[in-house]
Amino acid sequence: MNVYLMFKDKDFNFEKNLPLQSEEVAKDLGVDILLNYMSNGDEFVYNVSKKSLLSPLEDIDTILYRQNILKDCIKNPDIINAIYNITLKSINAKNKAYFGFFNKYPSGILYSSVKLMELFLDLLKELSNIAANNHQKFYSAGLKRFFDMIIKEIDDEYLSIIKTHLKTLEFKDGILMSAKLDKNSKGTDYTIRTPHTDNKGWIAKLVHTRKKDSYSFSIDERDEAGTRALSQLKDMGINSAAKALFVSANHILKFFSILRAELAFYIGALNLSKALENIGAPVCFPKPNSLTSHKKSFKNLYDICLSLSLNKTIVGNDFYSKDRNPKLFIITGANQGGKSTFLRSIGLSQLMMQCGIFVPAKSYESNISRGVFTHFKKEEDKEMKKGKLEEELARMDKIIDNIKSGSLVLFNESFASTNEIEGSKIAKQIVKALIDNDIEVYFVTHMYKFASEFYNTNKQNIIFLRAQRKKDGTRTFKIEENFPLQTSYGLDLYNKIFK
Amino acid sequence: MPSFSILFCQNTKETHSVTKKPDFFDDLNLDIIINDITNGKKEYNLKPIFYNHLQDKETIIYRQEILKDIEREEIYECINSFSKSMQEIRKYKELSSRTSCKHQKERWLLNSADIYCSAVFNLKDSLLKQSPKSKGLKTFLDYLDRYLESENFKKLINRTNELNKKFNEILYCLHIKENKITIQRYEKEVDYAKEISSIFEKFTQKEYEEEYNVQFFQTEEINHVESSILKFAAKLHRETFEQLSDFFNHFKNFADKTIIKFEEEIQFYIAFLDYIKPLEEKNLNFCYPTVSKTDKNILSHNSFDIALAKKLYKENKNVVCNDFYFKDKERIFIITGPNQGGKTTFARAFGQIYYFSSLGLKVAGSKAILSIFDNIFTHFNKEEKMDSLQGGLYNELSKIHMIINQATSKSIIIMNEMFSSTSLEDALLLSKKILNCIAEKDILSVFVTFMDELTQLNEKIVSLTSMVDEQNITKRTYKILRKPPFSGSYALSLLEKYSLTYNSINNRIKKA
Repeated sequence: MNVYLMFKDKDFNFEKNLPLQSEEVAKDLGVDILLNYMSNGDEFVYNVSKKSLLSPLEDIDTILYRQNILKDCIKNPDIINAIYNITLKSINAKNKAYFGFFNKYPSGILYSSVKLMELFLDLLKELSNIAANNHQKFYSAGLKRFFDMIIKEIDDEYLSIIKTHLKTLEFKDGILMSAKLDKNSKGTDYTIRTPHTDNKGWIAKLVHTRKKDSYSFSIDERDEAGTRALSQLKDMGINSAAKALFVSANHILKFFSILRAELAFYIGALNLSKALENIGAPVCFPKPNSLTSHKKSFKNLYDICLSLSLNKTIVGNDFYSKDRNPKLFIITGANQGGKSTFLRSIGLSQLMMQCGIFVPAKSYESNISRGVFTHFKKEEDKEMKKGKLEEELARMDKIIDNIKSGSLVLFNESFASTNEIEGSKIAKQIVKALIDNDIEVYFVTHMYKFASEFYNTNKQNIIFLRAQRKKDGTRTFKIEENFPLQTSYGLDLYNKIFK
Repeated sequence: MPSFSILFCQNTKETHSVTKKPDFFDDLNLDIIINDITNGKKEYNLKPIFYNHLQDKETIIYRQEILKDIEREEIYECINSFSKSMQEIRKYKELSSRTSCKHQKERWLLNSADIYCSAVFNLKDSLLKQSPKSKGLKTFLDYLDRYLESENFKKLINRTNELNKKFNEILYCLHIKENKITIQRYEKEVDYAKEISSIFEKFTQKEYEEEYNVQFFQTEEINHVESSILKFAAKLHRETFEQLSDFFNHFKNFADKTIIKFEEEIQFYIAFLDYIKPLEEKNLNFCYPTVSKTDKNILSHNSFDIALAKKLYKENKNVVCNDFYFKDKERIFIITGPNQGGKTTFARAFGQIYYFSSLGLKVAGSKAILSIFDNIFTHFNKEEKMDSLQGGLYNELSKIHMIINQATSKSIIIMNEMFSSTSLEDALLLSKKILNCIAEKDILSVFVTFMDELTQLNEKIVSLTSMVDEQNITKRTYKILRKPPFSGSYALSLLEKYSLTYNSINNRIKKA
């Protein structure tokens, strides 16, 4: 029995390390704010959401697989929450049974495994009831398969078989085991055996009647060493049964924990969906395109974190690539004009799309990226200029170590810590090398020299965006296609602050 | 074959005369090296073999050939797995002699016979497949061949196999209820644990293994409950246990003495190879020296102090190697240069190379041509406090005098900072006298000294200097060369520094 709600043919690996640079990307894009809304204070949901958001999928099928499940969840949030609660109970049950931790002895392990199994039995029953009563409300391949499996595998007959065995494992009639002799002439390979029964099903009393070929002896109660040896012998006998039950219980527990973790992902998305609904901010399920397609279009794409923090809807941006196959976006324009916000919305939407949830836009269509990287100016670094440029290059060096063709890099005022001529030279070499290797680049910059050099190449696949301002100097926070201007609007800001 | 040895060829005399650590061991770091080499092989008494160096070329070559064979991984494995078996045999023998339980005592002998038979058989089989080139291993293989064909061995192996098979087939049942144990025959009752597992099989989560870690504390010794069970199990399988008793009485001493001796002696080679292997993997060279009885035109390429290399290896640091040679009349190295520049290390390396060549083993370096020596004398100035200057000098001089008296033209002398605790004038005068004596006796020798003047003394002397970095003279290179004593821009370059130019990024990016 497999959960398979994150992938249609495998479990989500929550142990897997995040891609390198993930923490950097998360920080630069403000992922933390998003995760707080997704988790709603649940640390587990927080971690699951973070893992999935920062491990972007690269195949369209899986993205759509999750999108469809999420659509089902949004329609039936109560049922999803009820199943999630069952999984939480399984974790509690484990803690109650003091499972595994304290016991070194098979008899103890067997005892606590039986107790745990009894608790699981109830939870499985509950789960199969939910499945039976609600399965027709679900349309996604993932949840349909899941419910069908539960209905098929966990029926009443099966549950009653388990009950019987839990009884047998109390060994009221003693323990029968086979043994071989090891190299030291001591018993080994102890194997628990099911005693033969007579036609009525009674366990044979043969043990007592078969005199010729059996030898018995008893251990005196006062013989301490003998009693110890006897109990070890018993333990060795039931060990294989204890192991079998312990391992089975753990697999059931594992089933519940996988279910919990995979559901946590959808719970996170549900929470986020609700928060945005309250604000009235639009979302849509994006259309992922293949890695090689550079078709891109979005309407009202906004910075979700900003919207959530301000608790209101904000102005979004529109773009349509037509048939230009854009590879490089150079974003220039006024300070405080929404450039960084735009850059973050691009990065976050890409991550959200590639983990299989909705994106903050009225519509969104984009190619898949093989990893998202960020290279943002570090405000907090107040070191000497020379040191700062080196720090920027060292970070770039790390990115190059891990980047692949087909990745996405977001630059925010990078390489501006030296003068413009040198900064432009550096940026130009790096950016050119990246796009020539099929890496998609967004570059927010004030370096006119850098921007204009690319502008003068007249290449169709380089897009120039500019933060707008009206004639009176006020900002619209809109980013639109426009060529780079030589002057920046720092003066505006100065005037505003120093007025 | 009366006394085959894998350490000495048949027509030479075995030398075991030195039983304690030679005097020069500490000075040359040989004590550290030999301790390390023999450390993992404490059950064998290997140190005395390392204390006795060879003076005949034939035995040196006998050992070199054997070592070359064993260096081949396949042959090394043959021997290693044989040794592991012999260790097990020794363990069972020890156990068998200690226990009072008859069934156990007899069974343990059967176990060791079983291991022995297959070990000897495998050894011959696997060695033969590798067709060793050395005289030593070939002779031993011949011996093994004859032994395996002998009636005694055949009888042993047949009886062992027959009996073992019977014991492995024994299967009985125990029924335990409360404090009563019943031993009975196994009557095809099914495995209940499997039944449990199959019921829950549907929950098996892929790629997820549950750790179940119950360990039973088990000794080889048998307790009284187990011994009662064994007694009754023996009754259920009476015939088999009777045959075991017969076997025990017949084959008490089954192991062959020559084979036992071989297994002990061969550890000399194994221990040495185990020791140098990690260094060789670090690309440090070891080579088979060419040895000569008479020629003093010696040379060595890329040599180093093995003890130091081992230490640096553990600290993950690099080892600096050096070359040296004597030609024509040259006999004496005088090494000068800055402190901590590798002079003493060079002197030690020189001594070690000589010593290991005389054990018939490989020496540090990529190439070595050496002479056979009769003795090594060392005098390393240890900075110990002396009661009076005169007393110290007196002792030092007496020791040096003794060395010069005992040394012959076939000896090696290595001296480190002699007379460093006396006045320069005295030290110079005494050193010159001693150097002339040594030159006269035609002794190969190495002197580490701070007295530059000594390098000009006579035509047998070669001056070596520990070198410093030409740009930064405070930086030691640890290179020792044949030389007279020592007398006295922005943005794009940064891109290059970080490999971020257009071309380097192009080369670095992983293509889809």
